[in-house]
Amino acid sequence: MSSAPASVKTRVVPLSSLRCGQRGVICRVAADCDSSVCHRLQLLGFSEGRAISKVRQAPLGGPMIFRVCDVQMCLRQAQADLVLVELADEPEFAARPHPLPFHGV
Amino acid sequence: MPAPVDASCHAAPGDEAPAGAPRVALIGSPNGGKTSLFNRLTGLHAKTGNYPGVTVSRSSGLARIGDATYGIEDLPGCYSLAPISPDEQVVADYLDGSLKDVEKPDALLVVADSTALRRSLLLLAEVLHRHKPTALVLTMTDELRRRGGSLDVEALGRAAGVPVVAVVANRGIGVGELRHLIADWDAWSTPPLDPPDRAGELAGWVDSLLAAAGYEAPTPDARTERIDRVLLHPVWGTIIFFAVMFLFFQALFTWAAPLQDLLGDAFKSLAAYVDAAVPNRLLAGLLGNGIIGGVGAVLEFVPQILMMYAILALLDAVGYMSRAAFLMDRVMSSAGLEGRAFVAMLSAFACAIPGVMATRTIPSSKDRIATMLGVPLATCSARLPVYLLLIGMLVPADAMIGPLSGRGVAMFAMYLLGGASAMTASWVVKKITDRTGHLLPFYMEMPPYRIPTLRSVGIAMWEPTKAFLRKAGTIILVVTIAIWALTTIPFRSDAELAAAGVDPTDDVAVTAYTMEHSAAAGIGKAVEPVFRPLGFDWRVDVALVGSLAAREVAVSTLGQMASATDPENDVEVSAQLATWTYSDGPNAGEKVFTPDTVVALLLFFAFALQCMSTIAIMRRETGGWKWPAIAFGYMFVLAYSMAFLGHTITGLFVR
Repeated sequence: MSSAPASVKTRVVPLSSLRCGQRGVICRVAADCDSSVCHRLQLLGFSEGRAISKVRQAPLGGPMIFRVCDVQMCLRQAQADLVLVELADEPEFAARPHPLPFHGV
Repeated sequence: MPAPVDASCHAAPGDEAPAGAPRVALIGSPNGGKTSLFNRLTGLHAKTGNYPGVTVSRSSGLARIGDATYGIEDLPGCYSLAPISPDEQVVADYLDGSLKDVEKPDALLVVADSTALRRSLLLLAEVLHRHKPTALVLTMTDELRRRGGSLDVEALGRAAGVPVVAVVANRGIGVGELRHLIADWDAWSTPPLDPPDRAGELAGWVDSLLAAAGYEAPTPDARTERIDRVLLHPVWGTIIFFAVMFLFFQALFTWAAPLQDLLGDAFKSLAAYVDAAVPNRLLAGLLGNGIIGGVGAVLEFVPQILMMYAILALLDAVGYMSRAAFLMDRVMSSAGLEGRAFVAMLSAFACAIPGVMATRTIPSSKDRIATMLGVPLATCSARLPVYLLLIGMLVPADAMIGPLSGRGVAMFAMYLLGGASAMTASWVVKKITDRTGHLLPFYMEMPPYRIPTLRSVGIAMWEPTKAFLRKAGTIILVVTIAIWALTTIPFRSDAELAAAGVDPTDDVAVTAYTMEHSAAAGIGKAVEPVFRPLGFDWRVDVALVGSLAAREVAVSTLGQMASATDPENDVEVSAQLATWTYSDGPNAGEKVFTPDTVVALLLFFAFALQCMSTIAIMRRETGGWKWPAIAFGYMFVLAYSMAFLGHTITGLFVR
């Protein structure tokens, strides 16, 4: 799956599991996704190869906001579960202090 | 090509597009500036309505360019032409020409937000697959520049193979050029090749177009980031949200009230003047009490409604509404609804009419119906005068619950009851209508904060107010005349009054006598057995019949029957009402307005759909009588059962 150089470890996680401020690259939309929903997510900009970051999370498991295609889009957990992103486990991510939750990028 | 004329020269309102006039449809995502552009092209002469047979609202208008007239259609905002809900099917059907009585468009204008081109050009690709004359309109180019982005418009046109024009619709920049372009629609260039078929390959196609146009993406809007950090903060954001809601109600109930009183006084003196100036008593009564009194009672709400729309339009144009929806989505989802339904619920606390109209922003028709059936339960401002009167009778003025006034707490409880029952009703309706469990995906764009123009806010607040005024001029006028006639005809001659022991010069006594022997009293007595278990006597029933038109009518009807000299004065009316006794039946001689009856009446008003205007607007929004009939039916049953329950339980405590 991974197209990244072998030296950089990557892992694939659902979009919903991103922390606020974390970035990734969309690698696919889940295979069990209804084809019309899948198509809609792609037309909303959630398509393969696009860079994406999580901007914000509403309290109590509410919806989340992502920045994709220069736009802020709000999805519920159920939709965010359908989009899979590739995260680079770069030291940069571990070393950098986590951005404060809910405070955006 | 005909020369475009000044943008202020529009076709006359109400004109149908002449047969054979080219039809141009605007297609674009929500928040993309499509509606501003539509308003620019058509002026203020848009016609709003529904697409035949569905609850999707439609706005169309005419643009006059040179000597020719063009029909302009503002299609509902969409991200894709592949429908995932019956509502979105309308856009697809419209483009195919398969909608009954609606002709298909000749040319398509794709309206794309230039700060979101990577996303909005995906829609252009889908539109190009339709092989119709298509042009691209780029909006918000000023914002693109402000955020450090740039783009070569002509190069984008060459790469895409279609004409491209950049506009700033709010300020009218580029609209002249667009009008030239529309006039030239049959000569638009077409791309030599179709965009790729597979959605997955579209991203590459978009990237190649943008690369050819030298597109520099805008940086994230720094201002929006800063504001969101506060407004969407889990603690501060929630506090600010409640502060905004508080200010909203404060504005409606406190700031609009003086204007409302002023209008009310003006109508009263107008009615008094007409009453004195017209010699014929029947005609004077019809004009003064029937028409001016009745319609005036509704027009009094115009300041409140204007103010509410002004605030809602402003919050929406600035971009706060989607933030409020984001914050409230979790709460709304517990009722099976989405965040956007919250806006409708909120509006309904002022008046159910804007609440029903605000459901238009909800993409799923099942959610929309569920919300629409719930909103009339929210505590609208027409319930307020009734609650004030009844709570005044139920709770003594000096009653305290801790440091709080007992009346204030009771009023707050009624508001809570309204909110909770509206949510519950929507949840139940959603459960019943949506048994498939097939949920539409929820997605919502968070637009950057924008400073709205006076013009766009003005249009957004004027359109619904106009609809309300038109309704006051028709349905409410007819109903008030009918109720006036039922309560005052037949007129009694002075001799007849004197024979009955009524002083003909005492207006109040005459009104009371006339009403007691009117057709409405007949109706009240006829339905008395139905409402007797709730403790209502025929006079209360007359007030209920009157309140079918509008709830606040109940207060003035009760006031008139209580022979108060000023039927609008709560203290005097309630003092009179407290002395009423049952005139017949097993309880004859006992007081009518015991606490159990008052509780029953309060609950009845909390749940019953006594509002012609709401019924009318539901009919308009759903395109049929089915849903308004269901709403009226279920709310009546609910109101009756709750009132009965309240009457019985209160009876256990006070008897």
